[in-house]
Amino acid sequence: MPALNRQSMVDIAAGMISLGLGLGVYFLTFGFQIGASSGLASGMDASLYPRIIATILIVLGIILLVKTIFLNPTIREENAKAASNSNSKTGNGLIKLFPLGIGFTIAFPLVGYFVSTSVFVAAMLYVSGERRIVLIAATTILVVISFYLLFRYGFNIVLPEGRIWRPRA
Amino acid sequence: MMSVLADIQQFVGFTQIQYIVIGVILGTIIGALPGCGPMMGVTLTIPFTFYLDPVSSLALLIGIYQGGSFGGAISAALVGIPGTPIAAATLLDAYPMSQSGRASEAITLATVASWFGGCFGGIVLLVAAPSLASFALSFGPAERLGLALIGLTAIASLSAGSTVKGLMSGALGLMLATVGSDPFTGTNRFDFGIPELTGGLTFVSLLVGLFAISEMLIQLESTTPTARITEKIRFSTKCLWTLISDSGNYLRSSLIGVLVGVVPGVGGVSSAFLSYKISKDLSPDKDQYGKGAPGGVVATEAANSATTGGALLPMLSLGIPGDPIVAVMMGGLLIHGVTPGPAFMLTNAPMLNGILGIFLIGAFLLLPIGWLLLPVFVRILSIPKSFLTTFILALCIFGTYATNRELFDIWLLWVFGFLGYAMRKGGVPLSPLVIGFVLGPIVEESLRRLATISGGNFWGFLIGRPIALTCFVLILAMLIGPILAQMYRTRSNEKRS
Repeated sequence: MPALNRQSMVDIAAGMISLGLGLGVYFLTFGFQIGASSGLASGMDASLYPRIIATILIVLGIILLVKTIFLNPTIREENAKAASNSNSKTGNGLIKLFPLGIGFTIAFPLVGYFVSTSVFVAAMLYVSGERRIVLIAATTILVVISFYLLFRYGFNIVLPEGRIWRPRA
Repeated sequence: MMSVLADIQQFVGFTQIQYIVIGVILGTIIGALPGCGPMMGVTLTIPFTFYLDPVSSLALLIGIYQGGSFGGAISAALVGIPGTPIAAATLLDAYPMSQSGRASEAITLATVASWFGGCFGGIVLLVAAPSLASFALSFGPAERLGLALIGLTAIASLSAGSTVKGLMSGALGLMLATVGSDPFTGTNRFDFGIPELTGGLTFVSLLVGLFAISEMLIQLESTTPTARITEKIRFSTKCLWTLISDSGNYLRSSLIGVLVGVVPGVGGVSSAFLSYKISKDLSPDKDQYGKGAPGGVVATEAANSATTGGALLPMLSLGIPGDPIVAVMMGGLLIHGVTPGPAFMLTNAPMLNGILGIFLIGAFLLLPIGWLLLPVFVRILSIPKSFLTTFILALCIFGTYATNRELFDIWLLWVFGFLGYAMRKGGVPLSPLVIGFVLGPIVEESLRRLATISGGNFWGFLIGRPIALTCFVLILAMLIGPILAQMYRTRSNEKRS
């Protein structure tokens, strides 16, 4: 069997995830609390349809695994060439955005819209490459105020003020 | 005809026209931004359509779809980067035209061709949708299931990358649609005791996460510099004469666009390249194609704009989306309680005529909007990427929050953002997942009704339903076809080596 390149490893991971997901979903369906009303004439209760899809995921996972491992090496090279363009800086975006996004989601109800959004927008501009402080500050103020006006008065949505600023009863 | 006009008048007022105009402008702007496109535009707008009536929300979405399909041509012509994959074929001639100092002519031709293609698609839609829907009125659960699975299989097998991965993505979409209460028995499925999941996954979180957040993650990794446009771009009125001098190309390309658009999963990219190839083969100046031939720009832009009308046809008349953007629009309509398809046609024919009218008005308005705002659209390309990314991210987060005013939806947004990013990196197409999610309830309901009606004798029941049987034969052909093609390729490679 020829050596596996990077794209083949990715395909094997995708196949294994599909297989694992299918198996997981299949077993989870046994935990459904199926009531008396579920007894349809055909016997298609709430669990059968998810089981069909889980089986499809398992089969597709196996096909992808078999196909990738025993694939003709020339086709594998073509796949790798096609994927090489998108793999240049993998993970960079995740490292930049996800900590900020998760931090924002935690802070949003706690410190409220104004503080959390200001920090998020300013930090986002910084990690996207903007280094002019005045521009970052001006854009942050503009975005925070315009979004507040749009949501509060345009869509009538009350944005969180922050739990920590509220006096305890 | 008079009744259609009366219906359009009833449903399309000043407010709806305003939304069409806003949609076309926003769509063109988003379409012009490299990496964005009509899918991003429609995705970002969906949360805000909750606050509109169904017709107004569709007016906004259709406007964005039409504007977005055209907008990609602006960046393709000026900076050589297609704003959307749809505009990739436009780049072949528009960019060389631009480099030889004919940028205004290239963009004007793209505007005129998009306008013509869009209007052509709108007229076909207006004529064909009611006939197709009345034919589909006799469809039962077997036919509905067959059509839904055809739509899903076609998009999965025609998506970029491998068919297996496309099918995996579609199956994952069907699976995610089962989260929440079972529609028949009320049994909770895959809610893990989380109250927010009993109603199912929020469509907006899934959509915005998968497409917009993952795209922003990719943009953060890219090092493409912001474009600098120094040339003054103006609408060149002399290009309007090509409507007469090159009328055959306009008509032929628009027809190709509509026909390709009707086939689920094929879409604007294929129609543009197909039309380009035919136009080149039939042109007396075929040597000029690829070096700045105006006919090439006309062929690609007329075809991809006409595709929008073709893609809406199966959604409105059969309830089956022809491409991922239309699937998103269908999801938006479902949120409003409007289920497109033959039954909708029967009970809400005036509203459907209103929607068709909106499409035609949107297509028609593209020309005056393009004419007047072309310099503004060009300026948009100079906005620094850091500002754009931040603004779009804020829009994603607050748009998602605005849907249900639930923090849980923002958490889901990150989960689906990560999933979308992982899928893109793994070469798994995203579109089948969205179509699977939208079609999931239709597939499940049809399958369970079919199982009840057929008494378990599924194949025996199908023999008496020729349309459904044809659908299932086509599905099998779509699944087996790529395997045979790959086997043939492998054998040819082996012989060669």
